[in-house]
Amino acid sequence: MKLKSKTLIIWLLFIGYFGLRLLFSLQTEYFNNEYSYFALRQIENIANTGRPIIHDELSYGGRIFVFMPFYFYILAMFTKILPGTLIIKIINNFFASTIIISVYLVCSKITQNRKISILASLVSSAIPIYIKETLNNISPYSVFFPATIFFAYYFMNLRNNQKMLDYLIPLSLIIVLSSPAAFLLILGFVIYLIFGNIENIPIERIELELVSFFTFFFLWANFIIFKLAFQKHGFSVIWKNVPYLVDTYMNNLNFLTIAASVGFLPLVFGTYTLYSYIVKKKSKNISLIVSLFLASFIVFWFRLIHLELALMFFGTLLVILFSQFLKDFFALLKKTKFSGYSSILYASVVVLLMVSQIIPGFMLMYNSVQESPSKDYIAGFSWLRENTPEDSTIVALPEEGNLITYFGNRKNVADSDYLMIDNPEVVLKDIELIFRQRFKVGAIQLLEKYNAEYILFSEKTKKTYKLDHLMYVPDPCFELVFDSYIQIYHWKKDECGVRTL
Amino acid sequence: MKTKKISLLPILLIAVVLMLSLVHVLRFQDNKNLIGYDSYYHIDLVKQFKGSENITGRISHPLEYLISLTDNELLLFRLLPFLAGIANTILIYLILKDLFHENILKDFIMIFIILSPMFIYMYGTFNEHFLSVFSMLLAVFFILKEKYLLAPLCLLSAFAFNQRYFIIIILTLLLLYEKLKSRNIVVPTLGLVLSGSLLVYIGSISPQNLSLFDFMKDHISDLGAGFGIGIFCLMTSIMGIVISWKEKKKHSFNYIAILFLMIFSVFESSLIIVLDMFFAYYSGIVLLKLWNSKWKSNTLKSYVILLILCGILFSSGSMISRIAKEGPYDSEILSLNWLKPKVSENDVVFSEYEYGHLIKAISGAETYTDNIYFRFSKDKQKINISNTIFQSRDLETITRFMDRNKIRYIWINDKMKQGRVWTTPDEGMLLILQNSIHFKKRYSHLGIEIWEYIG
Repeated sequence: MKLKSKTLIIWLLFIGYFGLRLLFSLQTEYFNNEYSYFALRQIENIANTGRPIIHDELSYGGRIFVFMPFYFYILAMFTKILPGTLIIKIINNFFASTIIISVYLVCSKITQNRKISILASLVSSAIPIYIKETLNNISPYSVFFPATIFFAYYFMNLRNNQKMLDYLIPLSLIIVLSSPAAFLLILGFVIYLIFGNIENIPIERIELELVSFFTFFFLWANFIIFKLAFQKHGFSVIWKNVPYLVDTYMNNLNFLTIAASVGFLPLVFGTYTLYSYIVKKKSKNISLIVSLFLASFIVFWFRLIHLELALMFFGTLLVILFSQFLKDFFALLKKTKFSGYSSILYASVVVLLMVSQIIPGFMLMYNSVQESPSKDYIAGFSWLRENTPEDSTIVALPEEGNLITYFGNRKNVADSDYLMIDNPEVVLKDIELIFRQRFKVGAIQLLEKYNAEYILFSEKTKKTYKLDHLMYVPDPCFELVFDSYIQIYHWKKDECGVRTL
Repeated sequence: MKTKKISLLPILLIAVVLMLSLVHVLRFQDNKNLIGYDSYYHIDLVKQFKGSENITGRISHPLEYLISLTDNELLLFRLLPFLAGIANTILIYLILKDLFHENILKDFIMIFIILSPMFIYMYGTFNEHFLSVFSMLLAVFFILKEKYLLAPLCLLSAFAFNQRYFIIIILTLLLLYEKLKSRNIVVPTLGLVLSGSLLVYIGSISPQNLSLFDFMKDHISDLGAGFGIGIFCLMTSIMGIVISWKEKKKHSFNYIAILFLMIFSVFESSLIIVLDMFFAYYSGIVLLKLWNSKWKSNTLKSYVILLILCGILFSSGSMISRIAKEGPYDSEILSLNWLKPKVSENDVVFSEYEYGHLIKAISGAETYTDNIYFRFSKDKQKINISNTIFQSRDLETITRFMDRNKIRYIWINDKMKQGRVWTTPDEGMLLILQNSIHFKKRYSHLGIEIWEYIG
């Protein structure tokens, strides 16, 4: 069987992109963000027991986890074949690499132009925020995000071919079970229906049927998983109960940071296409992309999804719209006296994109790996496992909480998952106070409150709280038990309780 | 070939028996006490009737009086709601058969009703509603069968079993007004019910939580309401209302009734029972519409119907598991049995209002507040005072409160210490209890603490 050349090209691109991602990702044995270590604990537990950790004794000294475990199940399945983090990195990057195929398919459907579609898929593969979030992290977005773009592609084909349902139904399951951000798609569909109504774009019955199925499945799955959290937090479950102290959602977010996250050219020309297809032109396929873009803007504005995911959506959808811009631009060019220069112009666009987007994107892969934690840093967390009593609790930055539970197998006072936690702002404030106290009595009171015996002081802590050292050490009550890239202090509980002092 | 239509009733009855049995089977696995702290209010009444000649009490609580005449009250407390569940399923089926000519719609409404969390709560636990609802349904059945002598009797007996049902009785009569061939029963029944209710209720209604989330928490069982509507039933019923809007004239009375019920259910929780019936009706309309509509993809159609059914099953399943795990627990009963010989006639026990009836029923001691007070008192003064005392660290305020109310014991359980009242071990009054010479811990076992106030 002969592969068509366009299929061959896209497979080659996929393999190349996947290989490149692996090359960088496997440079380090660690992951970049601490969420990955929460994910690793879940994956390992699923692989060993068949169940995720719901009642955890370590996080916050004991709590309930509420999350979508689907992606962890998939990864756990593969760890049965090849244990360790290697297979997780391979599978994670494999899924994330499919973005190149999905964007190619959507662009080729919209533009009917192979060259532009290949270019757009290359650009999408180098979207900085996408690389940052999925290259060296275990992220459900690695599967959620490409699946959403594939969904958009099959949805576009649904009106002509009902067999697309064979792909759309499983994709619905993957999307809904991977992340509650699937809500974005429902909102996108609603906007698409409104658009259709306003612009007289015919909406097929089968499309409505699929949207109904998707919506019901979303409601059903999310209500089952997040019922407890909803009972506990009410509507703030939508914002994941994130305390205001760490709510930096839109801090320092401006045009430049958005441009840096999604790419300058797609941002400018994609936005222009967005405008022209809302106001002037009409296209059923583009209206779906425009609707998804508006939906992601709304959920971003109301903080309903992670900023990173919102930026990923902006980036990819703008790249798709940018491809339409290129198509329209070259179509217009053909009608002018510059038509003879179209090849030169196309080559210039490719060079411009290579210089401004694709090469910096691949450079970012390299940088991203450099950001992964060092062996010395992790050594401190691993030290806890061997050298502290099993039931001890460690005070550290919430961003280091999952490292304590994964490498140290010890209880943390807090980590960055705030769902099902009572008064997380109080916990965070207390942690800050433990590090910032001038005198030991205040710190000891708080250590007693959380029954914590160890304080982990790292470079991150120094940066976060702008400290050089703990102000109440050296002190006979606090013994420096580990001193390397990070410092670990042991509070001598029996000799130095508040009552004793 | 003519196909014979199979009646859904036997299948529904089997489903009801299985579901209600499951509640008790799951319950019996690790807890043999009656389900829910409120059941002990009725237990307490039965005990009172056994020990005294309380005529007014017998009239206002005839069921408890009748149970007090037997020796098997615990068995009856479990059996009566179960039997009422089966009887009511039959009655609802017969009523719907009369009201709706479309066979499938009737079946769908039935499915939504018997799978509703409210149905499971009402017939899985001993509560103040199941018998009143039975009488109400029987009255409706008689009205539809034009038995105008029996219908008012049933309505009045519903009123006798639970006097707060006057709104439901009025609403039922209004709903059935068009169906009544003889309208002579309406005025006398309404007159009797209204005058009775005026005597009982004037001044006793008080609004509870009015924020949107609290409203949802009080009305939706999946969000924690004991006596609430399933979230999926609610969602499908909203769709049903939207669908029915095309015939808004025909449905206008229903819309007004739903609005009325939603507003007044904030004040009177029993109205949620009727609201649930309305929602079941509109959910049935949605399911019927889905069932009859032609879809381009039958696979999607089946999946959507399956998801709706799974959704309502999920609500009822979580209600079964919730009420099976509900208190009181053995540890609580044990502690109150310990307390029983120690309390004298004038001693008052201080605890959270939720546990008032349990404490009174088992230990025999009076309590400062209870759930009935919480639900029906107008100003909720005692609840506010209790909360202030629980959170107070002022010894003088606490001791003054103890002396004034003759409180001798303070009963604390795990739930109270883990978020219901306090979140940290030394919060509010807990700090005083641990450090004051005025209080002595007399009992501490399996998470229950009993403190004595020694003045």
